[in-house]
Amino acid sequence: MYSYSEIPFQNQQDCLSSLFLTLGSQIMKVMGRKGETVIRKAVQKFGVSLGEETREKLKQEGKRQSLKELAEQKDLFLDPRFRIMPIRTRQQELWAEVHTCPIADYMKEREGTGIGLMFCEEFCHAFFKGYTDGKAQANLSKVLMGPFDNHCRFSIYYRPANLEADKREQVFDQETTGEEADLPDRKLLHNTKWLQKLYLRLYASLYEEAEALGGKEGICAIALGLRTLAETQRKDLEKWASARRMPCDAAFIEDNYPVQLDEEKNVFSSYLNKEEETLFRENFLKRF
Amino acid sequence: MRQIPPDYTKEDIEADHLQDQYTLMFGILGRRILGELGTDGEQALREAVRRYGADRGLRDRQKHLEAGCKINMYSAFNCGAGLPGNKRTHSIRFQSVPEVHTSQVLTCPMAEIWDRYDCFDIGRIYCEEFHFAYYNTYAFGKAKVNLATTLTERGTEYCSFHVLLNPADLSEEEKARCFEEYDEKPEEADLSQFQRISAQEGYRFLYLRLYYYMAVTLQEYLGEQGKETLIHGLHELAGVVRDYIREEEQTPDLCYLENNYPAKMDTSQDPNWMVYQEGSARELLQTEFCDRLMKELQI
Repeated sequence: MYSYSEIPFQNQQDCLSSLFLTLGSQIMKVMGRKGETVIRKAVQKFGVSLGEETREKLKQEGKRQSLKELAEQKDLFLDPRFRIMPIRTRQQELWAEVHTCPIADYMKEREGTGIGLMFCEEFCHAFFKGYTDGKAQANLSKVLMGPFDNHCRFSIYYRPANLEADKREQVFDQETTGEEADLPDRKLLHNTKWLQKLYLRLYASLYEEAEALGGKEGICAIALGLRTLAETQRKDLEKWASARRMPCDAAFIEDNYPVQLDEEKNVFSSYLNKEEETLFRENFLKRF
Repeated sequence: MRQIPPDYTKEDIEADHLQDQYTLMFGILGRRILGELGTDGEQALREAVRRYGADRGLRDRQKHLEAGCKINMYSAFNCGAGLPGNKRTHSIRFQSVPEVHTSQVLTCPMAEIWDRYDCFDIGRIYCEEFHFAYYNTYAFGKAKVNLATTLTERGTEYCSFHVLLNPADLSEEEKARCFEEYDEKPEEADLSQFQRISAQEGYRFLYLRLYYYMAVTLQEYLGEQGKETLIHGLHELAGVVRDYIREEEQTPDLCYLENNYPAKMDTSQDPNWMVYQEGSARELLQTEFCDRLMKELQI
């Protein structure tokens, strides 16, 4: 981490953390207790849809969809500051400890662990619910974002016995027993398109839930959040550029901000509907 | 015969025996089910544990509602209606408030029994399925149960519970039932209803239901083949229990069994069976286990 090639990826991750914290805080401010329902439901929907898509992708690639295939994916994004210790990586069991988490660090520095915990508590369960159609069991008993723990501990269980007989062979290779985990191996996963997808889809989920539960008030909360976010992220990018004695120009932003802003690439329409895109442009991009 | 701690009373010894036998029943029957029926048997076994967990969750929720307790994580872990107490389980609590309970179980006699009797992996199934079913059913299907480590996994040192119930996930009516701050007229809870029950009464009801759901789902999922396996399991259990009892008591009699085994040897005398009548579960327990055990112990 913090090497020449890794710093831009870390900055992109911090932009994602900032999006969630800023919009989440504004939602809570504007909508009060209802705001927490908005945020949690947004993360749930986001997680479930991501899980379902991941499963479908593996199916289309002709792969099985057990926990092992999930862990073997390489075209994802993982901030280099994560220190993850895989304990078990098998078809039926996925255990891992996270010893350092840039999202938790980001939230703690900004007194945002309340918002951060909403993400941690909801996402893991939602993702595996989507990935396994509700048949796996996700456990997150230790949480770095929380007040007591010095690591996160994930344990996911996915049992052939909990699937109908005709689905088992599709998901599990029942001829082989699960293999032991590899030795802890830090992989650099830097598919920034994946992070771009997360950024825009998370924004869209928050928008949709804010609108569903709060109507115009909800949308206004998002708009206010985007305006604050524009200011925050602009300052962050300038600070990061200054720290590296680089100009904060289009090239720097392209490397350090997770969304491609080049209009020719037209990424927004891939992830946002018309209203979401308009709000984003009016309240974030114009000020950013 | 195992060593008895010096501070143990006769009731403590009986409570340990009752818990061990309840635990052993699941382990021995479960091992037989997986051994004879493979993955299909495991499917039935997991479903049985879920139904058992849901049964307990529903009953405890009802008890709490009747007593005026809010249905939340503080009540679930603190307001009685749970397992009969025992001295061998040690835990540490980090927080226990309405929205979240975080604790670790440091020693668990159930895990030890399953290990001693070579059914450690069966115990794993129990831990995996029971808690999710119980806390979720208790909390209107809205709890988030996290049990990322358990003592029924090799190399882990504690069970790690982190169970959540968030108002954001509840309907307006559920919020009022779960959290005082959402209730216009919260009642004072009557906790006197939750006197600690005797170990005999407590474990008898737990044993009955866990066995019952195993018997029912085996037959429901696997028909006659499931029933045959259940019978084989009950026969094996009778032998294991006979040996356990002979280790502990030189001349066991009916009174000894009444106080140390969590099933009445004359099952027709247990009124709890009135509600659990499917699948000839009681009759099978009577003829294939209780009668056999009495014969083996020459009672």
